[in-house]
Amino acid sequence: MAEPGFRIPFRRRSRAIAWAKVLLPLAALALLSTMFLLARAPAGPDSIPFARLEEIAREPRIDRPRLSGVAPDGTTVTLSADRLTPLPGREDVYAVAAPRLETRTPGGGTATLTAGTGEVDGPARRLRLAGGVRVEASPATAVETPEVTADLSTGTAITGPVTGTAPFGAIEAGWLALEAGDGAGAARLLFDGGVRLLYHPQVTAEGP
Amino acid sequence: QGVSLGGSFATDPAAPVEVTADSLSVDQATGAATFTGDVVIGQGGLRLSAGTVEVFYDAATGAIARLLASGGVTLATPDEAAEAEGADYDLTARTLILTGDVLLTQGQSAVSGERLVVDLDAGTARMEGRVRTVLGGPPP
Repeated sequence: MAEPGFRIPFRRRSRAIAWAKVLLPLAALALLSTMFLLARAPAGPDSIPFARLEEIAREPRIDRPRLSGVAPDGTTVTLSADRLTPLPGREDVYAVAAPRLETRTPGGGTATLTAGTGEVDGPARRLRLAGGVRVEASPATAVETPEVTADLSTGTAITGPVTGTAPFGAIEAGWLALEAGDGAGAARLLFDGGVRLLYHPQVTAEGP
Repeated sequence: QGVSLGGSFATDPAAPVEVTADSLSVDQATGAATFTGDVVIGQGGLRLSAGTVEVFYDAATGAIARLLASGGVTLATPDEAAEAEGADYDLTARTLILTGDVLLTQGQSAVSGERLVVDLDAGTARMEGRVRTVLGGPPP
């Protein structure tokens, strides 16, 4: 008969395998079931915003539009907004919500016009900004005006009465024209219609 | 040779400078700024009017260093008046230099010359270049 030392390890191993044959499939079954039993129920049909879908479908519009182009003299003109909605009854004219017009001239002159509302006339490539317009332009100019009319093909714009800061003082003017460079002259800001500038000298301490 | 003149040219260096004009053009590339059309520069009691005024300023701080007036200039202070072809108002050096057929009238006397250098701190002026003084009022 084989010595008992040899048989015991054999009997213990066969018992371990017998247990394994039972426990391992059970563990597998448990793992598999978690995939089905605990999975989230699929979202019901009510979570699809049907109401908004109808509204979106009925009212043609573009959310967060962004149009940009380059003017003949190299000025890049970019118009972005929250929303662009065609105006009923007016062909190719769109209402713009929170429009933002940015122009950059080859010479490095930049201008950013932001407004509450606006209107884009496609064929005429004209943008009218209203509802309080803020114009920030290099160098160091920031003015407010009630409304602005901008030509999207050249990047030029004419404002209403303006007040704000010029590069060297507080300024008021009848209007401000943002003129693109005409090849020879660089782009410039032309305050016109009567200008008043107030400058406060920064007197250094050791003045006379 | 030159003639020193008293006068009330003094201005407070901290007094705000007001510039009114028909238009102001600012070149976006270079930052050059020019007032045109009935330009009037006012600081305290001093009034300088001209056809065109070019502004020299520090782009970083926005501090105006010089105002260069041209196209016929008239200067008015509480009790003097002067005319010239051009004027250079240096805000840092606190001097105002009128050039070109300058005629300064003070009360009953008038002085003409090529250059009038005004020290805005001391409030004094100095006429230079072919100075002619006319007492008893400007030449007929």
